[in-house]
Amino acid sequence: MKIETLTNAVLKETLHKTQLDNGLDILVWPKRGFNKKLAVCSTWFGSVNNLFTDPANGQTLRIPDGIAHFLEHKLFETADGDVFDEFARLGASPNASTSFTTTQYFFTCTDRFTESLTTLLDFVQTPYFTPPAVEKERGIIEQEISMYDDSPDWQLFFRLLGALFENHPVRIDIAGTAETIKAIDVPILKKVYDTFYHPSNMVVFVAGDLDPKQVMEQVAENFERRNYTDRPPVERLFPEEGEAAHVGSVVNRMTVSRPKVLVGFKDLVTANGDPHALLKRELTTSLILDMLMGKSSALYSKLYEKGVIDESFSSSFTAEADHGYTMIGGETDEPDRLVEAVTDCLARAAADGFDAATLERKKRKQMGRFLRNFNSPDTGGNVFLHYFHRKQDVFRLLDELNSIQVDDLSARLSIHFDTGRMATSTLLPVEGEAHAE
Amino acid sequence: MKKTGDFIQFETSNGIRVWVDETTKYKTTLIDVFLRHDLDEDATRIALIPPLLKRGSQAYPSLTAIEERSEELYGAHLGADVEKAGENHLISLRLSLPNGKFIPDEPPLLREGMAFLAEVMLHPALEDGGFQSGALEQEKENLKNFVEGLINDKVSYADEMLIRNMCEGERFALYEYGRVEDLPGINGQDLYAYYQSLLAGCPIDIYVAGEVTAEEVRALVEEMFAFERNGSVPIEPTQTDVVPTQVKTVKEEHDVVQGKLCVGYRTFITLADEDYYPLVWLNGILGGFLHSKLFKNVREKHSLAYYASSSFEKLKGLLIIHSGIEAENYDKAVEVIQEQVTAIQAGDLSEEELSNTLAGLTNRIKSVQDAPGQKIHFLMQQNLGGRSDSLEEVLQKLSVVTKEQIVQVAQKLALDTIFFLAPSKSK
Repeated sequence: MKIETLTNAVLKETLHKTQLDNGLDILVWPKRGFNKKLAVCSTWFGSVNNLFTDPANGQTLRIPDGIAHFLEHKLFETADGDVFDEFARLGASPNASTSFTTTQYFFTCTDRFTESLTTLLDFVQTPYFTPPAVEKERGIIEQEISMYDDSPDWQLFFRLLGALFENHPVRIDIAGTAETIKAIDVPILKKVYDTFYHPSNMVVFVAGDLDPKQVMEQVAENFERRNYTDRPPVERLFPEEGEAAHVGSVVNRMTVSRPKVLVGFKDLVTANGDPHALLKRELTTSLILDMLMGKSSALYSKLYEKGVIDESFSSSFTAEADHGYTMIGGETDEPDRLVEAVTDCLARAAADGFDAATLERKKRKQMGRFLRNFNSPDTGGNVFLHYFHRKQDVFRLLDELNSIQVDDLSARLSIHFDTGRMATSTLLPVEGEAHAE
Repeated sequence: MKKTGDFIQFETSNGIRVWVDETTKYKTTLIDVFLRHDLDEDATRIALIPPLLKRGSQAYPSLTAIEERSEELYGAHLGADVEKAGENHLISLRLSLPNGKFIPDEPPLLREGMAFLAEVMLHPALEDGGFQSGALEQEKENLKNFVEGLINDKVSYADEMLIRNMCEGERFALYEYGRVEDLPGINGQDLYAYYQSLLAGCPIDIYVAGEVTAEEVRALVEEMFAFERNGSVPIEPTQTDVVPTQVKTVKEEHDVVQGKLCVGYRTFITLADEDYYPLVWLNGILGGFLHSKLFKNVREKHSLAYYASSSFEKLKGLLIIHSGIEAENYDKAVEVIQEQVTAIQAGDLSEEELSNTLAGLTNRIKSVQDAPGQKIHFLMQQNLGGRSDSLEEVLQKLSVVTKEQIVQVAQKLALDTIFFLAPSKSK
């Protein structure tokens, strides 16, 4: 086993990396002096991967929305029962999450790490689907979906994505809908499992006060005895998505005490982009947002002092290989005024440019925030995995950050913040509903 | 200087108590300041102070100036909030910032951070001898929106409504963010004078965790938090002996898809009691984990809920069960929840439940040792509750609790209130 060691002098951290012949990546981050250990088994399969070319026969397959999340729930069941029972016996705390792009299974523990790791690797590699269990899970997931139906922020967010994107599956709720999950059955779960849960599409990440080589050997042994056959990578397909926002604005009503609004900008995705260009795009856009909309910005203090916004006002940019978007907003009594202030602010920045001293201060802030991630095995672990999935070297982040100049901000501003790619999502209180108390 | 667990403790010349965890584990230093008051009719005034402190100080006179200073300190997080712990109302100020040794040229960030926190806490921006009126009016409006916005988060709303109904007439029923109707009567001069009386009279505790020494922290606190204090504000104990005479049932209808059911019990046990560790066990077996009775039975066996768990208030002596259910399952869910409590009272605890709970509790407590904020919070609550066990002692004391002790504690539980946030009929 050839182990690569990556070190960063500023962070004073080291990452150990290897790849098995079957394609599995293994990453270990030794964290001396910590009780807590984290292990993640992650597959590059999320809610947006609903269309792909089946490596088994070359055919194109459209699978039901919400299946990645459904599969995540289902894998916790084994022939011997619920794998949670086994983790409970070991005192480990397991969980899983499905995002747009990945499904991750993980646990944290302080004792009995080796046994817990075996339990994790075993259950992820041992699918057990029966029709009655699939039926029962459908009921549980319907409940989960109805919980999200009651969450104003979640609804606001997906209505925005629906307004920005016409066809891209990022517009669909990660869990799907009660309607789409009806189509999920045992054969389709098996097909999806075989396609995406192959070591060449997966990574195992471990953090804690552990010996990297020993951990890697344990993972290698566990995967290698299962005789995976080599196969070409899955080709992920996405529908054609126009450059313009799908619709300009959407307004919905829910039980909220005060209106909420989000302004979104759809990013232009360049096919086969260099992952580090994507990283720089992400950092540059985040700096623009922080400079123009952050808590020390003129816009923020003006709107805050006029009572248009409160502390819930925030902005963020997300860049994936196949989609990207900016979101800006929060609670406000005057959604239209807030949207107008945001667009005016962007237009003014396009005309006036950016201040170099402010940029330097923001870089300091981002640097400190980045450092903070490495305070614990779990937040640090998530950061390592986040960048690894995007094929980005996390240790290059500070250099990329420092290389950004005011001209980069102006160039990026003019490309990304185009009102033709803008949409708004507004949530208003249900008419005639009284406030609590 | 004394030692409590990993913390070195001392008191400043003006009576501020300080605890320091000298550790090399983190890239950041965390400084937590708590000012302690009774939870009482002053709740709204107290809740307004933290947001006003963040609006500006004499050296950093605006929201923008405060934020710019945080950014210069390498993205320091400045937090100011209130917290309810038993019938204590705490003003908490928190600064977390990188340790200078991870920054080029190693700037003296502990000193700069401590100075910034002291500046924000002790020298708020003033106008005519009071808090700035413009800022005050906005923060009143924000607080009003926040209090009314509780309904946006249905889970928290249901929990809060349970407490208000259950503890009606007790100080604990007060919301830590106060009451909207108190806001109009508050002005900047009176509020500032009131804040000065709190700084002088209330107990103040400071906790620091990071790669620092207690000696340097002592010197900095003595230098920067040097102001006159008289200890004139008394603290009343939390009332823990209320016995429910009959079970209250409260239903409220809202436009929600899923109902939220909360069930509140009195435990009559707090941190200081002999029975405290058996209570920790009881909560673990009942609803603290995914292997607990509530999750296993309410969610998995009967498929009644998407979530079902329990938590306990360790200073007030309450145990609360939380679950999300369909409205038509209400009667069944209430029945199955109570069956779980009855089962423990009858001694129906398997070896597996016991060993899983010990493993889960051990995992949680050892994890607290890795998280500076949690570790400080743990110690802060112990200090309020009158206990001084280190995390190692907690583990040791939990390991010797017997099944009989857990059953005895369960038998003391008294059901007090059931609150149901129900989907409205029109839905």
